[in-house]
Amino acid sequence: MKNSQLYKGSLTTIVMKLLEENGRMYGYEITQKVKDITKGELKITEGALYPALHKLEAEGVLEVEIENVDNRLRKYYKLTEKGTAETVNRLAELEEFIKNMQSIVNPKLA
Amino acid sequence: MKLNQNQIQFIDGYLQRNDVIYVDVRAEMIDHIATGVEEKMKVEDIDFHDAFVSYVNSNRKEIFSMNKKTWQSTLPELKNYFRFFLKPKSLLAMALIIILFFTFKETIVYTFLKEDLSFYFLLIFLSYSVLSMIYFWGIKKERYYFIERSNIVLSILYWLNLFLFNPFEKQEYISDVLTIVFMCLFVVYVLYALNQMNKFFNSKMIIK
Repeated sequence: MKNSQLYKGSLTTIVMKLLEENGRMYGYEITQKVKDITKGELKITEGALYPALHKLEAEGVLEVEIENVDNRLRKYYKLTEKGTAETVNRLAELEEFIKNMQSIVNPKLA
Repeated sequence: MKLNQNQIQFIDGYLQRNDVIYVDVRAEMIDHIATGVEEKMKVEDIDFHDAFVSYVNSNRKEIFSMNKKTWQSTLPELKNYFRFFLKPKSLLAMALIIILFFTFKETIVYTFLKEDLSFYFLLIFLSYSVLSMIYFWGIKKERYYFIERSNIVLSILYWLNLFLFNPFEKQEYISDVLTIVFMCLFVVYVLYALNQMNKFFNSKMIIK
C-alpha cells in the first residue's frame, strides 16, 4: 500500500465499506476497485489484502462463497450480519479519526 | 480472453513448484494471477506466456506474500474456539460433563478410568491427527490451510495434557476441578473440530 503506515489501520474498514456497497467481491476485484476509486493513488497489495480478508472471515465478519468461474475456483467475500453492523461502527470511527486529524493538520478547514 | 484449463494448470504447477502447499491458498492465488494475466493479455495484446512471465516478474514478491503464514494468522482460530464455548451445544455438553462426572465420581468405573484418563486423551489426540493425515495427505494427497490452522488448538490441548497430567504414569490423585476443566476444553474442541469439518465439506473448497 502507498504510504502504508498511514493506510494500514484503515485497510479492513476500506474492504468492509467496498463490500457494503458492492455486495460480494473477490480479491483481485477489491484491489482494482480501490485503484480505480483513488485513481491509482492507493494500491492495496496482495500481501496486505488476503491476510486481512482471511482474518475478517475467521472473525465472522465476512463469509465466503466459492464458485467455478472460467476454469478456476473463485472465492467471493461478503459481509455477514455481524459484519454489516460492524461496518457502521468502523466507518463512524474512521470519520471521527479523519475529523480529528483535520483539526490537527488544518484547523481552518475543520 | 479467458484462460483455458491447461493454462490454469500451468499456473497451479508453477505455484506448487514454489512451495505453495495448501490447495485452498493456491486456488485463491491461481484466480488472482489468472485474472491479472487475462487483463495483461487484453490490454497489452500479448500471448499467455508473455503475459504470465511479465505479471509474475513484476508482482512476484506480492504474490508469494499471500502464502506467508504467521502465528498471528492462526490467532483468530484460537479466539473462535473460545467463542464456541458460548454456543448452546457447548454449554449443554459442559453441563452434561459436570453431571456425569459427579454421578460416576464415586463408582468403580471412574476409579478405573481416572488413573489413565490423560493417556486416553493422548490416544484420542494422536488418533485424530493420524486419521486426519491419512485422509488428507495419503488418500486425497492434498493439504488445506482451513483444516490445518485449527491444529493450533489441538497442539495447545495436547501440550496442556502432557504438562498438567502425565499420561505415561498412573495418576493416584487428580484434582476434580482440573479434570472437569480439561474435559470441557477437550469436548468443546471435538464439537468445534466437527463444526469446522462440516463447514469445510459443505463448502466447495475441495477441488475434485
